[in-house]
Amino acid sequence: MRKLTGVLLIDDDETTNFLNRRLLERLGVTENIRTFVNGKQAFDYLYNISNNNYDTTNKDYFQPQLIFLDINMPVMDGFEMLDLYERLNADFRKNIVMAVLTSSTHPQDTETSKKYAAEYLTKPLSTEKVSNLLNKYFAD
Amino acid sequence: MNEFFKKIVESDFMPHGHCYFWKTEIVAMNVGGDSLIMLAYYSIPFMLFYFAKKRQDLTHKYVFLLFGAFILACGTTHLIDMITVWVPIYRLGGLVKVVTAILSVGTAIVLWRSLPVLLSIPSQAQLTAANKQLQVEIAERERVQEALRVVNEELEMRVRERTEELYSTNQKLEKEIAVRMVAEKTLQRKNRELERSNRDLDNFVYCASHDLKAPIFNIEGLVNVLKEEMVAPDENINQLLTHLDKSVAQINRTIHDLTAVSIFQNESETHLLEQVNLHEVLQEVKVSIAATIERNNAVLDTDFMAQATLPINRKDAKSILYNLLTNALKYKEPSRKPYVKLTSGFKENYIFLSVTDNGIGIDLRGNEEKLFKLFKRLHDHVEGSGVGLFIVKRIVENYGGSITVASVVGEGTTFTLRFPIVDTIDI
Repeated sequence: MRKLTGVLLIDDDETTNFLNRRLLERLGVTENIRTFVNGKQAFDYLYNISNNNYDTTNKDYFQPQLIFLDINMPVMDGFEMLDLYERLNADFRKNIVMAVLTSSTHPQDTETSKKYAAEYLTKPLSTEKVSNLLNKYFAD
Repeated sequence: MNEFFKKIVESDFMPHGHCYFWKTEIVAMNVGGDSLIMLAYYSIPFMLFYFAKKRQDLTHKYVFLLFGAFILACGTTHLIDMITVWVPIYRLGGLVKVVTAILSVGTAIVLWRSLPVLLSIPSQAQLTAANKQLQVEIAERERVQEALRVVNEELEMRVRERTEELYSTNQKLEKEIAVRMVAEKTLQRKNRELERSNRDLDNFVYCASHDLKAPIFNIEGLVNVLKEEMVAPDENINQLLTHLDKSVAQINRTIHDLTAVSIFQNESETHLLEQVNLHEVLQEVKVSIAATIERNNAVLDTDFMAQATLPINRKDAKSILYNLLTNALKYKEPSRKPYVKLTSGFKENYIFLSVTDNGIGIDLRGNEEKLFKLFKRLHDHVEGSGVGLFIVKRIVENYGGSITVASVVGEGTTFTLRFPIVDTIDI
């Protein structure tokens, strides 16, 4: 399987980000992983990328292919970010798989997430869940 | 005859006084008698006429008139007799007598013929008697009328009393209704409060369990990382890690169960009454626990002949059957093949479903209460969290039903669920 150009982890919990990053690195999913602790940070990043407003030589800036997004976060939560994300250029978005990753099984959250073009995954992230996702969207 | 009327007042005879030889006493007696009789006779008819005129109600007025004329004529004969003592007008005298005779005879005939009628005229006494009788009757009528009036008044009074009674009863009823309405409103308010606090509690349980999830997942992940990072850990460390794993697994299960309970409660509030087919639900549950059934070599027997449906929603029915069946298999008696019998039916006002197993049974002494409580477990030799029966009980009670248990240690257990029969959706 070809490596992904990049993965974003958006979760306010640093430990979660640490563990998920470690998992993805061990699975060798990609060389480029960035973490954000709220939707605002992540959106600003995506906004710049989508407008090609970044230094291509800087390894911290890359085109992501997969984004894991938590729901409950301070500043800007997952759903708010998804609202903004859907306004970004469609050509930019079509290469990105968005996966909501949450510990919430609340009917209201599962219902709301259906409105978005996003996968719905429950925590904790596991090898199996990542594999399923990759097989579904990135199988050669 | 003509000569007779020509000479009617001629006095060509001897005066009658000659017959008396003009003897003074005879003349005086005859003339005196005649004059008095005449006066009397002349006066009587006037009185009769006067009487007849005054008494308008006389039915035989003509008899009075005839009598008057007849007496008047008689008086005239005496007048003529008196005159003829000196003036011999005998022709006129005879004529007057003939007229008098006709009147007398006529009167006599009329009187004779009128006798029956006159006799039928009631006498004063009779009238008085009749009057008296009438008075009595009138008195009687008045008495009866009075009695009627009294009865009538009594009736009216009773009607009034009854009306008043009805009115006061009505007012009492209205008051009672008002009181009940207040009570009902209070109940409704209390109910809403309870529902709200139930919801709050559910939300709390849900949020608490949810917020606990993230750090637990992290601990679990970190333990795994630790294991991977450690190069050749010694026996002690491995033991510690095993304990850590167990603890994490346990807390994970508890949180999972708590979330399950709170989700169940949230969802059950919006349920709609429906009839669920027991065969269908059982089939679905059997599919989901097929592996367990096969592994235990269990036999499931059903009798849904009398009552093929339950008045609850499908999700709840599934939850009930799932929990009861997995329990039945979980607490099997190892020495025999598990046999589970499901029976449904209805009694006068409820529908029941019973699940009987031939498992190890439960010592119910002092434990019946505990059995259905959250996180309470009576056995610990198999995996379990103490949530299943709690959920079943909550579901059944949500439908206004009840759950009971009967068991013999070493023989088996029967859980019986009762659901009230409801005609309409009035939740």
